[in-house]
Amino acid sequence: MKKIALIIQREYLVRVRKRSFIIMTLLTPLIFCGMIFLPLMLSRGFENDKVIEVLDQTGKVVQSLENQSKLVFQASEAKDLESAKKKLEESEHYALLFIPEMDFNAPEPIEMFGKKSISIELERDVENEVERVIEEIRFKELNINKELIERAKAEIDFKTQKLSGESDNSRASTILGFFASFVIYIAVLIYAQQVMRGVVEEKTSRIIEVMISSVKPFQLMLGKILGVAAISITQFLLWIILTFGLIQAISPFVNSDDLAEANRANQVEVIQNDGSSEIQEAAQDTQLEQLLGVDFGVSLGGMVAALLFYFIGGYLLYSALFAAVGSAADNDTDTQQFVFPISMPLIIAFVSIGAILRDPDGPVAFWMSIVPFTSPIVMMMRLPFGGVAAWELILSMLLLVGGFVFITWVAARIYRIGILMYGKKVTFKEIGKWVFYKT
Amino acid sequence: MDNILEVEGLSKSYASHKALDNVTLNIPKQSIFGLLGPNGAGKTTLIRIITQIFGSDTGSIRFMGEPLAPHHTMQVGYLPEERGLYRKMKVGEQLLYLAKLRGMSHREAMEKLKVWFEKFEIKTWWNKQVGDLSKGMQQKIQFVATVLHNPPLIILDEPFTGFDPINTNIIKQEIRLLQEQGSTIIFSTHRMESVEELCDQIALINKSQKVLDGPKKQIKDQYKTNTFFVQTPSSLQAALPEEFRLLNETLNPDGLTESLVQIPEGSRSNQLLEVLIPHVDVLAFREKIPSINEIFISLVTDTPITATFSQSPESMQPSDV
Repeated sequence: MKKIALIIQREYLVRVRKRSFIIMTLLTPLIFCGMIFLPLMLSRGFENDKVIEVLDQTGKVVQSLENQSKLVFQASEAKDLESAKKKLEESEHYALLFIPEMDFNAPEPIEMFGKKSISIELERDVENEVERVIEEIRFKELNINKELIERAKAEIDFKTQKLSGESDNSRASTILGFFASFVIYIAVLIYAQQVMRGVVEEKTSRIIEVMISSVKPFQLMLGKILGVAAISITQFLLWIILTFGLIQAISPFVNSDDLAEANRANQVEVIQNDGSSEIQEAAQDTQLEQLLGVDFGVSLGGMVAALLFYFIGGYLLYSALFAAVGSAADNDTDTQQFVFPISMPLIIAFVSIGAILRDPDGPVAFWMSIVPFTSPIVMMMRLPFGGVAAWELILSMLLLVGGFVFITWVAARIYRIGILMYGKKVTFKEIGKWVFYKT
Repeated sequence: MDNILEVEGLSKSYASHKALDNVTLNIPKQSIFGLLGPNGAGKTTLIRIITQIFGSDTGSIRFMGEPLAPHHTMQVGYLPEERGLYRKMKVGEQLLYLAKLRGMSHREAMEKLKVWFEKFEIKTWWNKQVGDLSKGMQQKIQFVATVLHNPPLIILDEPFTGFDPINTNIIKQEIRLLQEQGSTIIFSTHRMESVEELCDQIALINKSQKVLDGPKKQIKDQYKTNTFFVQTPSSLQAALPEEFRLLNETLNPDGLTESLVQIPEGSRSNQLLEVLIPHVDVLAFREKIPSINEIFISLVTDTPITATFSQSPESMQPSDV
């Protein structure tokens, strides 16, 4: 026990003093804050208004077009499309909007010409504005009172509720579930790989034989895993504290509405890259403050506790696997062929996110949240929806504990053989045999 | 009980081959015990079983009279052949860590380290990164790490590789000193000259089996072949009667003839002299005692010891007993 404590201490101290650890710990909160504040500053500071020239052959639209933020409409002085195009090229204006002579009841297509390619966002803004103006003209021609229509429109707040009476906020749940499982996915991979690199380092520097003549291989492996776990917790805490500290420090200088706006835009952007439309939708409607105030199927405290449990469980399970893989390799490049197969379950769990969020209590979600290799990620997706029965949670947690005990045992059996093997390209088949070697 | 280690009928097999086959060995207390054998003979396996890195299939080991148990690792200092240090750690820190893993308290380790650092004149290294030290310097640190906790049994696997002659001598002195202070040293090497110089006991392992062990002097006596080294101004071949075999004859750089002559079983050295004196001037005359190197080669290659005399040039050099 004392030896394991010594090993944990060394693993911790060596890593915590590394320059890369200090840089990562300081840089990440800066990046977080940058992600929150930078788009805001950018959109404020550096963008000029874009001028759209309008060649309106109907003569009825252009005067009603209202300027948008960063968008100015200006009637073109040209008489026909060709000369207008030429004019645009000479000017510094952004684009040309061509509205041909038409019957407003059967509108012709409207065209826009840009000097550069026109962003989808801008196209949408212009389209919305033109549609609004044409609609108004048609209201007038048809003698319809616009006010009456506005009045007749139904604005109803739609709330879904479960039979049990708890409120069901599936959008906020989606965000929370996505966020929690994302954190687990990234953290497990990062820190488990740190364990693996530590094992490989001991092999390549050839200290391993000195070490295992005074401690048991299992003690060395466990000490390393727990030492890195301590590092991960330290880093997480520092990230949280520093990020909140930074936000607190910067906030007074930033209008809070702008901040919320930027935040929302940001979330959409991040999630859009992931291609999952549900989350995107949810993100658009949800703000952080709202999120925190929502009643989930579980309390926020429960979520944090579950996050910690599943992170630690998942980390222990995977880091034991990664340690075993590290022991079988002679150097970092040798590990590559094994890293992908053993991180497969994690990756599968993470890419199933769309399917699971669509049907958080369906059979796919259920089984993946029970099996120890995928449960840390999938259970964290399911939990915020509140549909997880107590027995499911308990079963999943017990299996995770059982899973990591078993995997650690298997990994230790591979490790004790692997660390003394040099100069041999090993295969999975061979590693499998090591489990049954006696020493 | 005068053996620190008693190995009895030890066998160990790996998946494809037998690494140790029924090896029995006794290692006397306070000896410097040379463990010899060609590459792949099973030396490292034997050492790893003694250091409890892994277990044996059959057989038993007694350490200071008790069956070998996990707590004995604290009383063994092991310098493996493939050795290293954590490159990213400072020298002092690393030695403290290794010392504590072997059960020393912080203060005890600091005191001992101070003595060693002064002895080796390496006090300025304390805060250096291990990765910045030369290989020889790292070897010194490794040696200190091995013996720091004053283990009764020290196992050194090829301790001199990477050392220059000056440092080799320093380490040799330390090994002798440790022996005087009561430690037993198992010394595994291919360098026969250091075996000649240091060891008082040897064992030879070949193809997983122990082929020879005992006190060095006794083994050398056992391999004596009634052969004598003679230096003469000219060839002595013509002077030799038939029952005296001339094994080898060479000219040394000074133009003198150096010969190895084997005399028949039961005859004495003076009989050879009596035969030679009437014919040639005998400039030097000495019994040829086989070196450990010759015994090693003879046993490993399965050739008679006299055949190795002509193979290895250093056999012509005077060998000390």
